[in-house]
Amino acid sequence: MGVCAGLGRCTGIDPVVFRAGFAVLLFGSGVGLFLYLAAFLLMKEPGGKPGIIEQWTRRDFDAETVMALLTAVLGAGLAINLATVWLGTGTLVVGLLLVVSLLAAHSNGVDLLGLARSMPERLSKRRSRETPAPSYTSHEPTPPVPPTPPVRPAAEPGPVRVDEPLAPPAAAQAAHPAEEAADERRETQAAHAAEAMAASAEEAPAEPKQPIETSAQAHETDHRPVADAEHAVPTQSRPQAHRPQPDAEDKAVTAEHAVPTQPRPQAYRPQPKTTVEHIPYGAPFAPKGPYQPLDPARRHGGYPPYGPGPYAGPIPRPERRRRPRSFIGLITFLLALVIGGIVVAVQARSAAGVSPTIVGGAMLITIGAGLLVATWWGRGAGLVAAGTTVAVIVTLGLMLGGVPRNFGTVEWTPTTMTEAAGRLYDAGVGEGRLDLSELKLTPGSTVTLDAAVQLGELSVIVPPTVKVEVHARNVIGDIKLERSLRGGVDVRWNKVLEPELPPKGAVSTIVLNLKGGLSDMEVRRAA
Amino acid sequence: MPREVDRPRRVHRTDWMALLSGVLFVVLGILIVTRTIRDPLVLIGVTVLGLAFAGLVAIIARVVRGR
Repeated sequence: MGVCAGLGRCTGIDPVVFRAGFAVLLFGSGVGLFLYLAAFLLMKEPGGKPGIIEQWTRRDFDAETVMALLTAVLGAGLAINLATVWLGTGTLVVGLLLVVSLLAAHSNGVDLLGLARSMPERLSKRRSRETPAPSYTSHEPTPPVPPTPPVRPAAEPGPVRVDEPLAPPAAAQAAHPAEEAADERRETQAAHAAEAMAASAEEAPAEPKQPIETSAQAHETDHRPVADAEHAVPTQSRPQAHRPQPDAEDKAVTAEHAVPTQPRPQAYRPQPKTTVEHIPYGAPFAPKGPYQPLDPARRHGGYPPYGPGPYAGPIPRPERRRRPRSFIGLITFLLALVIGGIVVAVQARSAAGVSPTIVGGAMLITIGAGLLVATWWGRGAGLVAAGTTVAVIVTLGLMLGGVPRNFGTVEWTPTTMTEAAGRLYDAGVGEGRLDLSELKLTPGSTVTLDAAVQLGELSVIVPPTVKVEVHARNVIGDIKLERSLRGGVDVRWNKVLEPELPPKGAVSTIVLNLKGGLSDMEVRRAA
Repeated sequence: MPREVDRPRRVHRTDWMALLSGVLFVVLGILIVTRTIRDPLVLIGVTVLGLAFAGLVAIIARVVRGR
């Protein structure tokens, strides 16, 4: 139950409350299942890594946005409940929990209106800043690491450090290796340095003819190299930070000591190699650029295997993530339109006329084929939406029985039996009203009337003196026969309504065949 | 050998959502055109369940691949 725990942590409410709420919603109306799934997909992972939908959409949702989206899901569930059963147990449960959650949010100080207004920009916030991994961005910014710096500073402080034994010949030799030996990771390097100094001490007597005045200057200038030599150890751990300084000082020193610096680089040639060889203790050896795992799937956003540090985040390259634009969706969609048009044109010549269902089926096949292509080439996320839309339209076409022919309000008031019978009263989309109160029926006769509505409302008004035999079928909506009501999905109702007032002669019968799509139907007596 | 990893591939990894929903739409379209499906409830039910299954498989594939 990580979802409820996360919600509890986010809102400061006991997770048990959320668990109970989900259970009530699940058993009350079934919305709980969808809400739980939505929460699972929307919420971030415990470590702060982006959630599933955030990864899919490459967005970054903060906690308030996620809560608002979950509220929207709950609201959509309420709307579905209202549309299907209008007022029932599920509607009441969902509505009550929606109101309670909104009130709880309001009492916790959430600006609901402001949150709703800011949703567009919250939903469009891209996840670009934290490309490497969110958990590492709080560390110090990693400077762009040129490929070669680990080699160069170790090569150049070499001669600088060599100068130090010139001023204090023996003491510095003893002290500095001791300081350097304290650093475990530079231990062997210090040994190399000690070797190098010993070599320089051997070389120093070989050049005894240094002028005295330059040796006095050497005391002044050599202080800086000594200080720099103290910095030499941290410099090697982060070579790029101090890189310019050794260059400048090296030039100054070599300008003043043109003679002694000439032979020394030969003695310290091996040192760059030792420095480079010891880099793998702390960080991966990457002479040709920032370190990257070999597996491309691990390069972005994954955990760097060497932990945070100068090599933790490969330099963010958002432009690399942008995949090339795919035209498969557009091409498939246009192709589906073309094929749909061809089917319409072919069907228009036939006697049966255009069947929108067949057209939709042909378009659906095209979109499915495009999706199969998008399985390995390009992208097809939009095609799933397009195919779903076409499938829903075909479903509506099957459900409502073809293309509606009437729109708006229609009213029929037949007065004779010949006028009334033998036709279909199709309200189409809108409101239809079949008024039979003026219908003249011969006593004892039976008349059959067919009426239909696809989307909207159909009301039939019958005279109070006739017997009415109703065969009603409604896909979604209510059927009201006089004072009794049935509602829901796929409602079928066959009922005989006895005459309210006794007729003068034999009882006439009206047989009503009512067919509805997403509609409300009503049969009532005339006043 | 390591450079082969960096080479851009012409074929991306299998998009299970596209594959399964494409098969679903093709089959549904054929059933609609041949008038095998006449009940809208069957059509919408199969559509919703099929898309849900495709999405589930896509999520599982994503999890297995370690994102």
